[in-house]
Amino acid sequence: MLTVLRKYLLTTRMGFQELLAFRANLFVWTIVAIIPTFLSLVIFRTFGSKVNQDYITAFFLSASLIRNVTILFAHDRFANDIYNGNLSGYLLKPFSYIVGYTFRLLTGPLIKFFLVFPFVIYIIYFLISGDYLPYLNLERVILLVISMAGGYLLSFGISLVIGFLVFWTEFMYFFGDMVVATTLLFSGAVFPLSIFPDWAEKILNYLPFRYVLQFQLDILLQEKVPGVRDFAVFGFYLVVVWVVAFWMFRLGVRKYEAYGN
Amino acid sequence: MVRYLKIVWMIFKVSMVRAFRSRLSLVFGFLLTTGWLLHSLIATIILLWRYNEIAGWNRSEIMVLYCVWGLINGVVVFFFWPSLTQLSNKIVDGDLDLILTKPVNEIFLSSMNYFGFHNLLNGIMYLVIMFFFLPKVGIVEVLLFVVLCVMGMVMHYFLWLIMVTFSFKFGRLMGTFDLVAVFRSSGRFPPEAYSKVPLVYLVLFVPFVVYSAVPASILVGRSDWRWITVFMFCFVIEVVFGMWFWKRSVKEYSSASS
Repeated sequence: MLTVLRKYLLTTRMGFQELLAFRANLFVWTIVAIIPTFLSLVIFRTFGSKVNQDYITAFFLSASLIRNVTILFAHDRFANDIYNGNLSGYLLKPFSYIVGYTFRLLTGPLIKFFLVFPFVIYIIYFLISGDYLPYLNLERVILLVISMAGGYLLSFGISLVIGFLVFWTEFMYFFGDMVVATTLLFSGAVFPLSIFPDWAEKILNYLPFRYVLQFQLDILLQEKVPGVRDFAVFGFYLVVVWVVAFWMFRLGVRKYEAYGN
Repeated sequence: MVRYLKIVWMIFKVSMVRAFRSRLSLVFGFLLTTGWLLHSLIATIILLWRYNEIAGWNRSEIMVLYCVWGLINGVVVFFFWPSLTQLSNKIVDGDLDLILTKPVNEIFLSSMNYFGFHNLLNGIMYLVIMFFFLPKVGIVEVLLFVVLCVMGMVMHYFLWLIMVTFSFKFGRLMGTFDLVAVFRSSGRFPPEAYSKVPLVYLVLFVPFVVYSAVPASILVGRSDWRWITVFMFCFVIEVVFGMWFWKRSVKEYSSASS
């Protein structure tokens, strides 16, 4: 057990070193993830009293931090490994490709936080000192951390499913980009889901996308903490996505010919 | 001038052959850009449905601005995106030598050697949508719009070129285009929306905000000489700086891994 864990921790270290080697690009990508949120905040400020400005400020500032952990688009990476034939190298190693990558990519959010650490601290200080988080308590913090971990795993699982499509079609890259666009719009990354018409919001509440951002923001900002039913739906999506990912990988490896596409 | 037009025509023909060689990719590329168009269109429509106006611009005006923004991006991406995305690699790998030795302007040739057809279709779609929201405009406004639109395209192009030119100094910059794309999205909204943004950030945003807003303001009858002045100022600065920066960087370029 310990040997297995050591292997996976080693892949985490590899991921850490790999990201540090490209720290300038990682910094740019971190900024890229943050700017749209601030842009949305600027636009919403122009609506004045039509929106609850305290809520919207807290929403976008918190979103700028949480999305760096929970929204992950890594499908290209898996697809490239398969498409270029690099997967064979991993298949020869004595550990799971999927679990290994889960550990390896976990370093991304950690380094992103480190790169913009003063900014993170400032945002947290601003939100707490400005009383923008009136419902914040220990229970919510614990739920937030759990749901952020779940959000990361859900996002990662979706990336795996999309990336593994390349076993069957090279047009997976198209589907991948479509999922990115859909996730951004329907997860709360562009604006809160409550902005959508009521009928659309009801539908969106049943889709998996909200569980990578809006759900975590609801825990932090809404008076009512999401109930057991919400967590059950979240858990259901997590299980489904990961079962499908493992199933696709198994099927895909059977037809994989290891010399690229 | 005629020589350059001939080259553009040749590039067009070659790109056309390449694009239609893999027709399915072309179709998927078109669907992809349409998907991103829908993404921003849905976001804009929902905001307008909920709040009626943004920074004093009403629904039709915002939609015209949105379409002008999309049109400018579509055309610039059609002409320059495939070449500029490769330029950073060419600089680092030393493949720029081949371009520098040709008897054609090197900025022209390095920025334009393959066209992305699906993006042109995307630009046309924005143009079609724009006609649904366009108020009555005179010929003078249309002409002025066309001139400012072309200037906006040039500004957009030079913003990209400046970012890519940093590759001479810093090597492969993988996130550069994402950064430009993110800043670019600020052009979907009126400049007035940014009036409360601190000046230091605004300086970064300004070129991205005005390149589509000023041409659009002519069409919707909201032209403001102050914004036109800012637009002209940004245009001159970007073009002059962009060319100077490129030439200076090429002088220091010493082929592969420079």
